[in-house]
Amino acid sequence: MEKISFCEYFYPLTVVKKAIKDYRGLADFSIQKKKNTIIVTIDNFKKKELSTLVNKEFLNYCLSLAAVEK
Amino acid sequence: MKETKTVELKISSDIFSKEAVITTCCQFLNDTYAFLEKFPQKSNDITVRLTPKEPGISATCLRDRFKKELINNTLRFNIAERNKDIREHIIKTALFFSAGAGAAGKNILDGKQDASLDDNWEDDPLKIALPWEEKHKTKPTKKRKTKNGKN
Repeated sequence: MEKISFCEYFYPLTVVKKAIKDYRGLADFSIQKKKNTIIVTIDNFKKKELSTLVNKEFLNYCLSLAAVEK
Repeated sequence: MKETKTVELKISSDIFSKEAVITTCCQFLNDTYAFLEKFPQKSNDITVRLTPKEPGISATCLRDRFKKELINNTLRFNIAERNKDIREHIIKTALFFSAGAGAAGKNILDGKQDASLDDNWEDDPLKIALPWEEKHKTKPTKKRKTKNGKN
């Protein structure tokens, strides 16, 4: 299980939700909002050997969406 | 297998804008995994974490490249901000004339921009709109007479 804390200043909620929607085929995602932080929990990776890669690529994807959003 | 080192940079948001930092990070997405943080929330410091995808990339090189690109992007954003009004004006003018709004008598420009357009834009003091033939019209030359009366 992986937990990622996104700062809402850079990653708006809409962006994170869109990224989750696009990545939902690779793992199970859950989202929590706390103050200015969005906590995303990633679990049940479809391919366990790719868990680290999916995790890191998900961060990059969120950032690229945030760049478009601004 | 070599491990990839994560590069951590602290950037002041007073000097570099959020947009410039995000754009710079996006330029590094092919080579690195990038993550942005602002911790603590109220501070002016932005933390950038770059983890190279390949182990061959040196941390110092990556750090220097990032700083260079960040300065470039900040400059681009500053120039874009300064020229924003001019760009808007040019685009609005272009749209105004291309969409046929001018012919229909509609005005899509606001009062300030409209006033800045010259009222006498049809005047042509430099004779730019004059056709070449008219501008360089040669006067009929008088034929010189030779001593014999032949040309």
